[in-house]
Amino acid sequence: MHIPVNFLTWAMAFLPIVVLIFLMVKCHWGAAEASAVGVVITVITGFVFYRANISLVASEMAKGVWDAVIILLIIWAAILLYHVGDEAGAYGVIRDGMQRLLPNELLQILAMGWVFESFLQGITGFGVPVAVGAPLLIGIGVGPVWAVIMPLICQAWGNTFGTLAAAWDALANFGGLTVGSAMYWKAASWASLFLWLWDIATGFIICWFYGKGKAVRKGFKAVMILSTIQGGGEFLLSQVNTTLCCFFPSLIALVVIFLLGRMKDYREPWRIDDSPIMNRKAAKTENAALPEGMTLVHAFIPYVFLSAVTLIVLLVPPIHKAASAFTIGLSFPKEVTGYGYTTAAVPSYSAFAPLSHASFFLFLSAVVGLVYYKRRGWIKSGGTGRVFSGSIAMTMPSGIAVVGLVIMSKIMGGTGQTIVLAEGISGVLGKAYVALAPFVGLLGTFMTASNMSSNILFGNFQMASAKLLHVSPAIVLAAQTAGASIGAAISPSKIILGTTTAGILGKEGEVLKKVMGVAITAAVVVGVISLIVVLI
Amino acid sequence: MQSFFKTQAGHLTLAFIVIVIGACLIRAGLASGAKPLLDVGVAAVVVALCAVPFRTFVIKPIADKQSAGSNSHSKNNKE
Repeated sequence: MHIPVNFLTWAMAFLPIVVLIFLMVKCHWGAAEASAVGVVITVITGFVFYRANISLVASEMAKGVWDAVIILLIIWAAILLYHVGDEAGAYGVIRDGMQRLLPNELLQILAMGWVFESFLQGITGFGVPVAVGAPLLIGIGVGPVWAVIMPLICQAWGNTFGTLAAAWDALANFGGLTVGSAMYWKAASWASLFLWLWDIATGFIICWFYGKGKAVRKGFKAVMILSTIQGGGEFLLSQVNTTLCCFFPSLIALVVIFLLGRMKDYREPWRIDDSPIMNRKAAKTENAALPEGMTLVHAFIPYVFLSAVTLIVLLVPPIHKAASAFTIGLSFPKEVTGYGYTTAAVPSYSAFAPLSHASFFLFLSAVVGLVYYKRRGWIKSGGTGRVFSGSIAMTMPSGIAVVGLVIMSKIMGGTGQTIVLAEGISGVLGKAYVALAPFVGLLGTFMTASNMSSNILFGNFQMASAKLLHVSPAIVLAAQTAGASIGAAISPSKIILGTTTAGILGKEGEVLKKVMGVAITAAVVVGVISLIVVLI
Repeated sequence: MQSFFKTQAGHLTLAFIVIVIGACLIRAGLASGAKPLLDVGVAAVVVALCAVPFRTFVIKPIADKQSAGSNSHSKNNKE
């Protein structure tokens, strides 16, 4: 590969990302509109500056559409699950139930915005916490934009070791870590330590959003206890079993938060009346619409089923093997740019196992919820039609945005633009590059919406950079995946999941603007710590 | 069904369908080595994607302006 890495090629590779962010944040374009412009710019720079040919661009486009369809299955199934709950009136019941079990409003928000999302991230991931969490938070009275922001920030810490450590396994595979080696465990400990710090920060950020210093003081004990269980538990378990080191602590935290509701500090009703994140008017008008006889347990039935089926299919080896046996993948030929940058042929690209995929679990959960609520009379006649038609109507707007973003990232990857971006940064900075290693991971997730994809894309590059610079690969790889986790909070594709189910599609720019500062700061902290460690 | 395709979600669904058809043409072109299929497939995907901002920032404002103009005209006629 002889792609010239100079300011021009680097700037042209960066251009689509800058334009995307500018259009969304400054011009308030929706992601669907902005991504179309991003794709056009990427295609032009690919042809003009990276010597791509039509076959390569076409191939990456088709890969992008395939990846997008798989993501859209999750979006549609998550939206379907949301519509089932909405049609049955379950969110009003959840709101009322949470208010009774957790009279402290801040604790309710921590439960539904942080702990439950972390639990969902632990077992399923793929944006489900954001898609499911946003309507749940709206159901307890949070304003729609904040209902998207909070799950985005709160699920990010669980991206690396969540989904049964899919992203971590990808890092180990593509970053060249031998499972069980000293470097493997060292990288896992540093990654989980970075993510523990991010988890602590997440809890306090939520408190701050809710009510600034007053809420931080009130929530201090709860945040410290919960983050010790979540992040600290993950740190400890990462040295024993990386597959379950996010799931188990998240499950324990979900139980503990209800026990916290009985503590002296949190058992009395408490709220900040003028909290900027709460929509008091909407909460008042929904009080009259509760379905008769539905309890909190009934309202959570689809989610209990979701947790159970996910755990059974993923953790019981014979069932997992049987469910994963049937896969669908597309074959693509080898492609080479004019600079010799090669994309290898692949016999089964992005092989999709429908029966062990998150979308299937979500779809089953939605169907179970639909059947159950209909039998109990909480979904009336015509409700099934409304649920399905509403879910399709709600999915499509985000579908275009997801397709555009994924195609953009695929073409950038296939033409070598992504590698030039990363090499440009490391080539200029020397050892100081380590401080920017998390930003490379963040960039990967920003573009692909997947911690796993970012690790696949940059794992090898980060390992090679570390060796070239004679610094610890464990730290650099840990910074890569921590940055990639943090990037999940600002990924446009994930933001769209939230704005879609929150009913505020088109406001992705507003969400991104609020979350970006938090995410960048977190990445800076990870980078600084990493640099200090390698320089000592 | 017809009324659905006249809505915003309906137009986006149509765009998505065109994108998927374009991807299928690309796959057929890659498999058969027929370059025209690749060209048409890429064009279909790009045009369908670009239709979204075009509709939002060109077609819709013109339609809204015409609609506002005709509403004002009929209001003047009534007076």
